[in-house]
Amino acid sequence: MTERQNEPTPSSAIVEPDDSLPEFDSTRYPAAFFADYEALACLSNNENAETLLVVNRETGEECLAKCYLGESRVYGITESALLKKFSFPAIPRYLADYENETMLCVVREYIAGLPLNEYAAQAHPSSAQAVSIASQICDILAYLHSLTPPIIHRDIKPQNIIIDADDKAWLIDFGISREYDASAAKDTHYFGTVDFAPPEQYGFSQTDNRTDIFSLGVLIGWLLTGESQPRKAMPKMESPRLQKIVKTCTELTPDRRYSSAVQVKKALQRADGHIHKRVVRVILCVAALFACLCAGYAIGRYTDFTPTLFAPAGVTFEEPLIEQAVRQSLNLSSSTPLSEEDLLSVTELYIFGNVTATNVEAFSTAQQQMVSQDKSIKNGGIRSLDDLVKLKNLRILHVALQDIVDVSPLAKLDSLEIIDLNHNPIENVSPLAELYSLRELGVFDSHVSDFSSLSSCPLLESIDAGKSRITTPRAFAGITGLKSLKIRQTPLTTLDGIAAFSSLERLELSTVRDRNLTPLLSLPQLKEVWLNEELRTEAEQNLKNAIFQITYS
Amino acid sequence: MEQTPQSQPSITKLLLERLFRAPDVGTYLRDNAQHIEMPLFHRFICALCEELSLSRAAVIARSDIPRNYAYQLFNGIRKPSRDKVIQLAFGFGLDVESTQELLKIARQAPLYPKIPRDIVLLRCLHEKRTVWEAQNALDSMGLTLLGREEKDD
Repeated sequence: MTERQNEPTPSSAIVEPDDSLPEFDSTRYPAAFFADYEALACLSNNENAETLLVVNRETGEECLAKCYLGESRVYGITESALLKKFSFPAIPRYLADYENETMLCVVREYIAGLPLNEYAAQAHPSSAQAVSIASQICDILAYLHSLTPPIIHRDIKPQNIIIDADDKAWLIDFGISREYDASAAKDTHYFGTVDFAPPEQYGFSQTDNRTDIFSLGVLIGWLLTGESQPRKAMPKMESPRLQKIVKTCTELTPDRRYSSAVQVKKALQRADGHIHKRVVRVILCVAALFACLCAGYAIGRYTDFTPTLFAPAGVTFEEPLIEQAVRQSLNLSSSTPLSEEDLLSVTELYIFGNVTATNVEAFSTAQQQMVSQDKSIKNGGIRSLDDLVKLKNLRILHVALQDIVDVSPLAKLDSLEIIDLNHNPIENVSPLAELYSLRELGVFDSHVSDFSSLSSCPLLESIDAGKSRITTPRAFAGITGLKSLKIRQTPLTTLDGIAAFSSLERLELSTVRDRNLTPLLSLPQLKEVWLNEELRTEAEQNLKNAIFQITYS
Repeated sequence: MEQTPQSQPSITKLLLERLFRAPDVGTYLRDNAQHIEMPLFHRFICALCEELSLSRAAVIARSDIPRNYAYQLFNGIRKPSRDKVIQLAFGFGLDVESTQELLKIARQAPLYPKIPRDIVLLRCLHEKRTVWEAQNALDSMGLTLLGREEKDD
């Protein structure tokens, strides 16, 4: 399979069978570029740029080099600067750039796969697959738009999306994203920049993230129907929900479009069958609750019994310790009633055992007290997280050293970025799979044996799975954006499979049963590793040439 | 002993014209590249064997592709990498233009006359060298040999 760019392949690439075959002009390319890389094939070229598949002479890694000529070098400078800035598992990694008087070569990670237009022609994706691809693009756009300043791709189209062997979508081509290439006949022919670009991209108003939302809407319509004009695509769409998404994305007035890619993703999820069923279940629950209320009212109306349900009172809590932490966070005494509005201003919650805190420093102090075996820190006894559903804006949650088994109430808190549930008998983390914003998860000292369901959390970069039940790195399959992984005191049997986590920078582990540490050498970003002293001999033998730092404990 | 094929300009193009029943296959392919189904590669190389009166065994022997692997290419069990397509071109004794067409049918990048490895391969095809002579030429210039360990192998 081959990643290709969207430039047409010129007929000049075909050499006529005569005696004047060309000699290699070594002065064309920067000398250091060919010292470090060998060119294996030219995937596309035009008068402004060549896209080469290259192999690193030292590591053997296949990479992709885009070589910009003449005035087009400005696009190379943009692409290089942006790629250096990005760190996202669905955007190719920047590797190097080389320059001489005539050419700028930007080398990046090579994605073996097919451009979406070719993939769609071959695989004919189903509606569910199309929604999955669109959701992945939403994740990438959400990342780009969340940067400071936000990056607007401005060239979202099938040719700039690569689908790899695992059906994962990657976004490429950031150099030309800010400018349309009027000479790119292929674009016009197959997708049509006219169909694809929103009105503001022609100078009617300033472009912002909603420019990409417009293109995303065109893309969704095209994926579902093959039509690149929304007004032609929409009548052909079976699902009214998806039709509405395309319509909202492609409104001519930016203010009437979705305001973020996260909103589009949520709408896509709602349109998907599972989400639809859940909505039906919620409606049924509300109807049942209403029926109970009516029954309660009837009992109260015709008897002397007045249920407390109708008594005027603030929000109540099931778990006293959670209420205590919430009141502490809001600086409210136990006698002051709490309103639902009050709860919306709670964004952080810290509970360690029987101690509640207002910030991470106080929380860490309690944690240290436990480590130093301070007897005053005891299990807090919290069993249910249902109370937290009321804290809709919660971003940071520390509820450690409790009796929590079920984490499903957290699935409703989609602002959560950091979750620390250390020292809880949790077995299943899959309810957290829909938390889009989740960056850090701690479940040290739990019963969890598999984390792969969290592969749908695009921003997840740190997991503390120490003293859990994982036995292999494959327990984290698909969480490719991981930068920090803690797996101390686990029954780890092997490190095979860790190569899949190429973004990993920090790794803490105690020991591994097969005592083979060589898989760590396959991690290009790894900077720090913690090992048990007992593995020092193996580490000194097998990791001699490692470029990362090893700390023994 | 198998008959050595005579150099025929663009034998692949002639065959394509027959398969597509199009009078000007070049224009047709360029205009419809995204919409048409290219002939399946394995069917095309089987047809090419008949066209050139060559047995599969002879083509395989001259392409230096491991026998089992090569038969899987002829049976359509495997999709060929770019290097394997080029090796098959040597096996068929194709000229430069026909090799470029064969690469196009396999949906692989054409040989590019501005990078060293492809220049060597273009010259060897043009001069009707064998695949082993091409490998020697690549080796002597410190370039990656054909059929290196590839991801799709």
